[in-house]
Amino acid sequence: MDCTTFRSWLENRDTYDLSEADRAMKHAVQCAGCKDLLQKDEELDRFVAKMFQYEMMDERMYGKVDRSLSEPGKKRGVMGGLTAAVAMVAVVVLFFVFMPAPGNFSSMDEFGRYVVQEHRDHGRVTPLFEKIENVTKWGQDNLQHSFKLNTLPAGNIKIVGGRVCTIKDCEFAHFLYQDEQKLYSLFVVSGDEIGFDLEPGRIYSLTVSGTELQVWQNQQMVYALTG
Amino acid sequence: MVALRRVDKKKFKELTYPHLEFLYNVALKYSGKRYDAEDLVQETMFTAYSKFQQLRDDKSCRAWLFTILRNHFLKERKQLLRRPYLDDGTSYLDYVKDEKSSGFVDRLVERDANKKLHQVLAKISEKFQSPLILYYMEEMTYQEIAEYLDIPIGTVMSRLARGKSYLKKGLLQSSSRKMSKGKIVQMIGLKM
Repeated sequence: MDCTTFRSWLENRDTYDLSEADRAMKHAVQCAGCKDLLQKDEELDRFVAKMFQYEMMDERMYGKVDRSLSEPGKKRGVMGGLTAAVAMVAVVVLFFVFMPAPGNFSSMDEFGRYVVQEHRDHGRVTPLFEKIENVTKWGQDNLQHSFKLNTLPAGNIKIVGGRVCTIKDCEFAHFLYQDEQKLYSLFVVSGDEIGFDLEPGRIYSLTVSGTELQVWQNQQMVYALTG
Repeated sequence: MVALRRVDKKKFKELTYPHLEFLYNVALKYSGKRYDAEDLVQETMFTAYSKFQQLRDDKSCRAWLFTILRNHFLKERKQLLRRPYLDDGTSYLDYVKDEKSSGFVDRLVERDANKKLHQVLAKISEKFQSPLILYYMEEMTYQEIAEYLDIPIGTVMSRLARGKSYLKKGLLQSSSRKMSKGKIVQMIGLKM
């Protein structure tokens, strides 16, 4: 076996039979380059397998399924079908009468709920967050939209790291900030993703399930700070 | 007749709930998003409940639930705009070779590995996703995957090889930022 055949085997191992594996291993013993490639590929494979490991499911899922099983609205039947058809017509009519604003978040409350939930799930120092030297450059490298971070409503907080996250199919930049007491999450998203209007320059304060949130818009970007 | 057709909710729960975590994790790998995964599981369980009489063998409950979930996912994905997977025709081994030393996967971990897995996996066609999920997450053999997906074992092997290649290259590309942005490359459509 030569190096080219070895590479082909390595990349398509699943399709070769075991006798080919023996020949490949013999080649790897003699060829330092291919041996190194094999070791790295095996390391990569172990890493991929690790990433596929089970993730914790929210215990409330059992309750959610319970409720969905007993939802009368989902039961099939002639009357159910008629009701559904009438409801669908009503929804279509209402849709055209009250055309919803474009965007993934219909209201600031909905936006706030998702952002606060993301902060609760990920708003802590973990390897998810990359260290950031230059926020603007990081934004340019990682997001489709460029933005500038001007003065934050809460002063004296220092950046810990950043990550890109997806909430309701929208790409958000999620920055983690810290002061002496606690951690804050700053979420930045394109204004095009928001289905409600924000008054330019105004900082909106709201409380979502006991967590305070400040939302504002600067040019094309919408910012949400919570902690 | 009505009484015979009525679903035994207690039995349904006894049989299906032990597989809920499995379903959730498959859904998470398919969709990449927690909320979508939860929705997918709820839809799956509702369908399973309404078609519980169709489950002939209790031992095949896990595979039966998986099939329902997969069908729901495929139905939803077909409704979305198909985004082609862009492949520049290079081998993922080129990226491995470029890495300076062993232990390079640590650098992948530093860069939000799970998010990247979800992002890369979401771009791959379901025909590669499903074997990858069953292989890595459930540690199934080729034969078991073939039975689960009802496809020939040879197809499982080739899909796994290609799926692994796409996945590894995607992860390495996103890690080393060697994405060939704007380059006209070979298009591999998401055929389902």
